Amino acid sequence: MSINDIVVSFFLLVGIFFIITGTVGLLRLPDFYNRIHAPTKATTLGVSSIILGAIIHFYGVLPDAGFKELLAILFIFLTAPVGAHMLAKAAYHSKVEIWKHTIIDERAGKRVIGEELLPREEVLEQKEEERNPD
Amino acid sequence: MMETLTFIILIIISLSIALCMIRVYKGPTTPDRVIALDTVAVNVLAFITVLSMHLNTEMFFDAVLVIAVIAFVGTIAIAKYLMKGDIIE
Repeated sequence: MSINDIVVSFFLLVGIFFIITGTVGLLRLPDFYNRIHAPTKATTLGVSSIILGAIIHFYGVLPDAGFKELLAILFIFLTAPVGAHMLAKAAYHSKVEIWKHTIIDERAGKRVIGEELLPREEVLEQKEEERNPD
Repeated sequence: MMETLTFIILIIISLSIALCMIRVYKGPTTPDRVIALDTVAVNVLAFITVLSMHLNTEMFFDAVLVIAVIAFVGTIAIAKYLMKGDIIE
């Protein structure tokens, strides 16, 4: 097992870790606005790491390897945040429900918990009491 | 050695795609399903890359680029449709 294989294996394992993390986050987090951030960050980093491993694996083995893969990494890094942002905005416009433990809705400029604009510490205390009534 | 590792990673990515399909099935809203399908597309990118390492060919990288473009355009189109009820105004 050469040093090349060890480096490629490291990148592949990092990539598969991030992909699994993003997918489990998509499955387990409570509402849409929480769920959207897990796959768009984690799987982007994971797939970039896997493509980086592929570049190292093919470097010197096949002719002119590397350029298309770098282009793919650049494209994924550019498009994933744009798509997630558009989708979050669309969901907010179509009034997707917010999780009931959300403290502040910054786009609407209001706190979800409490009637008025309370200071953050008081809101946190109030939430703590709601969770543990005794 | 590398063949075994890439084969195991292909199986794990397939399991990850199956988990995404659970979210597509459960919903509960349309944006949830869209983001789950977007995640499936990203997982397919990783799958194709590892498959090209497994088969030791670089022919599949064009497919990686094309699927990335199609997933991005599809997500943007559905987001525009959800926001305005119209894609091209």
